[in-house]
Amino acid sequence: MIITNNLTKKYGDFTALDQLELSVKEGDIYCLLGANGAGKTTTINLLLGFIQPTSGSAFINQLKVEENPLETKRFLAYIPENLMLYPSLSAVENLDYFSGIGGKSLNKSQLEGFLEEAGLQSGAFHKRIESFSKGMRQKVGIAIALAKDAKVLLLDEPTSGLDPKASNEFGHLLQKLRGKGVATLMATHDLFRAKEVATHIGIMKDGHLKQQFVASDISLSQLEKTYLETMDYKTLVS
Amino acid sequence: MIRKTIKKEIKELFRDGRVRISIFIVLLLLGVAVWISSRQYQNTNQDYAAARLSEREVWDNQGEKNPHSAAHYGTYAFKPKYPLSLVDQGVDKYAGTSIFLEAHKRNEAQFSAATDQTGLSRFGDLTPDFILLFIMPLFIVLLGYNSFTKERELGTHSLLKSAGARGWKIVLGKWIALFLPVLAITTSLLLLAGIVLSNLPDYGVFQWSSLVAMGLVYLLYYAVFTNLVLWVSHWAKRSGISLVVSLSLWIVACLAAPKAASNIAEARHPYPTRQEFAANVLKDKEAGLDGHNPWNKEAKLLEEQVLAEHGVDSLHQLPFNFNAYRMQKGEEHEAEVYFKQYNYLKEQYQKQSGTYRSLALLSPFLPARFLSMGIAHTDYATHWDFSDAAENYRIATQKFLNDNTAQNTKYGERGYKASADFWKQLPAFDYDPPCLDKVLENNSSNLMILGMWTVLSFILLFISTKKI
Amino acid sequence: MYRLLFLQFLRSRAVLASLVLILLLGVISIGIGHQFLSQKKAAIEQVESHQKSHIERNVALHKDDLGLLMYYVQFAFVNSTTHLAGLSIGQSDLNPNVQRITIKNLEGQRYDTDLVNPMNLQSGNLDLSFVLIYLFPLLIIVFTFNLLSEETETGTWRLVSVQTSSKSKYLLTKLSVRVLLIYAVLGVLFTVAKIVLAIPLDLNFMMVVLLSFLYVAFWFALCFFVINYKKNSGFNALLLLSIWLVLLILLPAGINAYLTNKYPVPEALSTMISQRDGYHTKWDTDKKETLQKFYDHYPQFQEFGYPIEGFNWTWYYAMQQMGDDDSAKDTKALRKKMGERETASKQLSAFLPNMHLQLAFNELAGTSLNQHLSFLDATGDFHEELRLFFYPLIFKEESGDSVDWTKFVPKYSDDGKDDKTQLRFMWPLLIATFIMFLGCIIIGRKLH
Repeated sequence: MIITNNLTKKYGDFTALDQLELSVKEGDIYCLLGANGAGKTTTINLLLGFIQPTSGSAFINQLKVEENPLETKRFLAYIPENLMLYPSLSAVENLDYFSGIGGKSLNKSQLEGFLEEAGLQSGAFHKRIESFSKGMRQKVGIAIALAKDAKVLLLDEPTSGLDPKASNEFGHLLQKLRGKGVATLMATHDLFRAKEVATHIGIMKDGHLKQQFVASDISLSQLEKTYLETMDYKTLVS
Repeated sequence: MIRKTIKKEIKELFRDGRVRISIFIVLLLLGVAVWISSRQYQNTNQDYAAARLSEREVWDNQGEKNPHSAAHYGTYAFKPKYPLSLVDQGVDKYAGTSIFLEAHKRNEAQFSAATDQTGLSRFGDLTPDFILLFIMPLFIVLLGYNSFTKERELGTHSLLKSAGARGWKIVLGKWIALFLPVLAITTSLLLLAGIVLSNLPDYGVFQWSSLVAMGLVYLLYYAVFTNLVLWVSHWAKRSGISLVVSLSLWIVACLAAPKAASNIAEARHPYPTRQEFAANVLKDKEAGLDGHNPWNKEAKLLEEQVLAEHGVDSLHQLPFNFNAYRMQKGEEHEAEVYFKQYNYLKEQYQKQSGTYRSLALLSPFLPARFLSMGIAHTDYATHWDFSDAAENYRIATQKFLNDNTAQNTKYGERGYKASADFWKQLPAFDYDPPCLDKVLENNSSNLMILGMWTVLSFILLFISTKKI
Repeated sequence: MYRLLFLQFLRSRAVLASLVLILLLGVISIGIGHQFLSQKKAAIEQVESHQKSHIERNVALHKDDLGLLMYYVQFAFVNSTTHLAGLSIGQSDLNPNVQRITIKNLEGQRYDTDLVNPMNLQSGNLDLSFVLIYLFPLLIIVFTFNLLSEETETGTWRLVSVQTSSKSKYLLTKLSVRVLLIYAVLGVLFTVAKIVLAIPLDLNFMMVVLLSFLYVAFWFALCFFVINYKKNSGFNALLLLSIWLVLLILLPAGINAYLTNKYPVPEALSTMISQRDGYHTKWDTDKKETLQKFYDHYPQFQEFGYPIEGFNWTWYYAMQQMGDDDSAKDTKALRKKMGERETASKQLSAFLPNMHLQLAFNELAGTSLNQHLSFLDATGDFHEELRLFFYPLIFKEESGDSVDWTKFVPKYSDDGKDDKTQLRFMWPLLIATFIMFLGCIIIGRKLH
């Protein structure tokens, strides 16, 4: 579903992303780990077509993003780090609008159905977003993805700032989407959550993808050790 | 999808307290303005009707009198009030509304209300045209300045982009949502005006077609502002900047450019001062025949010429009164002088209008203003048309009076008095302003400029927002 | 820190753009003022040469009949335009600054306005007073509306409040950067105006500058008052703009409508029609009666007796005089009404700094309605002077050569405008500014 070939992004002399080779298949949850500035968000922005690659290419559902900016967006859903919605509109209205501009017209019960599926409590359906917590907003974001029937889900630090309970709920939602065959790419700092939800894990540093694992092949403590080693934190740990 | 955007934008707008308040204020102002104007206009109209009637009555009942005495006594030409002057009172306040018609002299329209006002009058009036031309664009600025910047600031921008919507569809949705309240307010105002007008008895001939044309002009004008405001909002990074830039556009277009245009027009093509004008008229008059003075050179010349024409050798033998004939010839000479001097004035005015038009390239306000006044028959062009019509009537009146003396008296006869029922034979002054087609034709360049503004601003908006 | 605050402020493109815009408009307005002054000057110069040739020509034509000569000869009376008028054109675009009058009936001569394109009157003038009164407040709003809110919105306010000992001192420092910039712009514009328009450095000019500085201070205080409420940028901008709209557009328009209705100048058309009757009945009035009335007014001319046969100049000028005498009462009433209107305008405008400033500017520049009215009065005196000089000569049927025409050069009205009473204009603005400052101090306390 998501494939990058040799994907590179340079800003002048600075290389934000260097020859990234990545592949996320249907039903995969791929977690990209790495410190700030490692190139995680750049990868996501390239996949979204917000920025253009310097060289190499990104594919969504076998379509080259650069050449088909609108078509590729039809298959994907995106939840930014701090998902913001229109504060003066309710959850249902936001969902209606965003799926509407994506080209889908849904009726009220369908809209409510998606929100319910995303785990939003029914009392909040018709409340304005301005009173929502971050976790609740993210549920609306998932509902948008569900309504769109997205094949690809791009997540940028979705769990930062969530309390453990909300974070846990979010993990369950991702599993549910995985069951529907969605390919998920998630950039995160959160090793623990990554180990818990991911099928694949990659560690990035300075624009390079340094390590890749199948999540079930590695324990949490091994993951932590490898991560710190990759980050050159050895001296600190030992 | 466009429909969804419109729905969402409108919902957002109306859930915003400031928007509700602005709409309320605009509606309140419009209401007050219409109320004040319609009251004022009804009063003026009554005054006019009364003055007109009594003026004619005085003329008709002069009794036995020498026609030239009556010519000096004079009549008045009243500029009628037109229905749409309720919406746009144009330059009526500054141009005067009645012209005194007397022998030997072309007068300016008098009683312009502006002459005896303090500096405060320059702050403007609370009239519908003031609100339509100044406040509505400001309203568009206030409603639309954060249309795009808001999305950036809220963070919904990236989600919107990832939804894969085409840029122009989002823009069109926003455009319609911004335009709808404006459309609603304008239409309801004009409808209200139309209903009020078609129910006023003394309001002349009211035509819905003119009202519709006026409405369309305003809607084009608002479309330009909507385009510009959305474009600025898309271009600016932050709401504050967007507001400042849009507001500057408003200031330049609606406040600064018209004023600059007036000063530049006056500087490039100045009117003569009143004194200079009067001196020129006097000089030209003196160079020709003076109807009251039988001894000047021109009078002698005329005398010889007329005698030769009729093959007689004494003025007494002429079949008409030569004194009155000379009076009429003098009148014609004076009319020519005025024609020449006023034509010069008119040329200056037309050149000034040209300056206004070239500055209209900087401000959509100017063509809209001209068109609106033109359609309402309250522009300066109509005033010229009226004043020319009044002058023609004056010339005809003088001829009517002089001919009467010439036919009914002998040369040298003094103290002739026309009979009491003679005055009624003079047809009343009747003025019809140019019809709508003619007005639009005369203002075709303004229409073109406004159209150009609309098209170019649309292109600008949709090209620059291809990628939202 | 001050330097950094300046830099931070000036790096904003919006700030630079608005500074450029206002400087540009300011300079244009001064150019327009210059143009206006040179047109007026040209008109006056023209009068000088015209008067000489005009008199010479008419004397040559009619010197044998002084009565007829005086029927034609016009004498110029000039209202010298001050250089300040270039800053505040006021009503002087409408009112002529040169009157050319004959000794005939005065009323018909002095009310003529200049020939103007009414479109120009409707648009008004882009003079410096407009830039000052309308645009400077907008600039001040643009500069201050997010003074505090930009910090809370970008999140720097919390940091600032930890680092600084006094938040209001910090805000005042930030504000002073903007105040200094605006005053600098104002200073530049006044310097340019002073040089371009050659304005003398007299009390009137000082007053204009002082009032402008006070006006700017008033708006800064008002803006500071509003932003202290710690609302967000959007709200501040909107509220301040609404205040601008109400103070500068809506209230003046409303007050104007009120004044016009409260003090209507009798422009009713019926009055006008009856006045026409008044004039024309003079011709038919008994000649003896006309002369009797004339001698009641001017007993010193009684020696010229009652010539009533045919046409004679004594009767003709007596009749002209009667027209003025009859309308004197109406004129007085009209003048009184206009005076009342002006007074009411002044009283009401004392509560609105912008309206007050406009009227004060006009008065200082000599372009107000009041000053035009006194010019009209002076024209009346000038006219009377001419009459008293020429009446006996005409009645004695002197020849045109007996008069020394060279002394009839255009006369200039001079009213000593440079008096200390102008200082009174300061008070309303000073009080308004003071009240706003007081408000700021009271609300500023809450910041701590």
